[in-house]
Amino acid sequence: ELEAEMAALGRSKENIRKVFANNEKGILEKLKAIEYTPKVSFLDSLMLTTREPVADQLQPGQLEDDVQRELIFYQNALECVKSGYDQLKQLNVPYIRPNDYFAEMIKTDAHMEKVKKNLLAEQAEIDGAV
Amino acid sequence: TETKKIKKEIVRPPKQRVLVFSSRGVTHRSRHLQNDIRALLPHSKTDAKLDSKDQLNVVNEVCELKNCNNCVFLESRKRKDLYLWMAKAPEGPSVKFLVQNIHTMDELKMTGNCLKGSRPLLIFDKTFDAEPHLQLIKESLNQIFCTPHRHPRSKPFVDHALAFYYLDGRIWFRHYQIRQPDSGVAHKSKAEHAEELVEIGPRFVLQPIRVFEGSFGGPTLYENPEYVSPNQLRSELRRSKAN
Repeated sequence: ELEAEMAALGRSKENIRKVFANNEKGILEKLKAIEYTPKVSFLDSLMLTTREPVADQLQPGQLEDDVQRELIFYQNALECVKSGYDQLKQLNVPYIRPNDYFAEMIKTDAHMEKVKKNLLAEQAEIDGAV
Repeated sequence: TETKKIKKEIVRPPKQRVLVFSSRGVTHRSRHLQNDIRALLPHSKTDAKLDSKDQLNVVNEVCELKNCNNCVFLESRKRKDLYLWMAKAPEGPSVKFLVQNIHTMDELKMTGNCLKGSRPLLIFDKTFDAEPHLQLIKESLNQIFCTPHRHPRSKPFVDHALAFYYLDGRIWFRHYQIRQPDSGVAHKSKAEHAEELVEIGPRFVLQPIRVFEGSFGGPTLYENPEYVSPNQLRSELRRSKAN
């Protein structure tokens, strides 16, 4: 009886070892069905891709290093932004907000005031510590 | 071939409208995240929180009612775990992510700002081109997060950028303001390549869990072998503490 139980246990363990789906053909078919960004103009997609994977630019163990990671994120984004602006310029469309254009911002003035106060307070703390 | 070339050039993207909403029982932080996402998408609509948790295909009906062909749905479980669904309604595909490390735009650390409704540049990590499921995620993210050109609620300027990086099996989201050295005259002056970025927020990390063929259901096309559910993680932690 014990043997039978052990065998059953072994079998259920085998069942637990799961097979993970990765139907590449199905995924690519689905992608083809919805895809349009490679076919439209840059003005319609605004899609940019980094030159190198960020994973290759980080040294091992730097994933948890906030400063280093954010620096690499920043550098890659900046490089893409420059190439994006170049492409927009070539398309000859206005894309930079004129100085006299005022409109609602994503963060309100009240919120930006708080941000500023926070920055000043932090600066004062640093100055006070010196 | 000349006419063919012209035809290729005038491909217009289909109209994208995105429904952004959430399930009942979301925490304040997820609600703020939802508001941030909505602020980024002038082409979005919203609806009342969804009551049912088990029948997510109801969402497809809501999309149809709201005339939306994309959906970003925040699903909250146990008031702790937040999942994000990204779907092309009604035919699919859809992707389910676990959302981690949320920092919303309300936080004071991120000092950037941009016009509400201006169009963002969309920056993708090169790794997205490496695997089929990531290619699919890249295309869906772009279709959802790109503000349609000349959308009535948009502003015709590009003063911010959304970045999606793939690191450690997860997608890291960052939102930057593009600051001109002296905006307005910058495009005429010599300092035209001196742009700076300032982070606006929000920040979050998305771990892909599954890719489905349909919208909120259907056969699984991809399943992340590295994904461990928060429940399992918690129970393992408890067990290791008990030992």
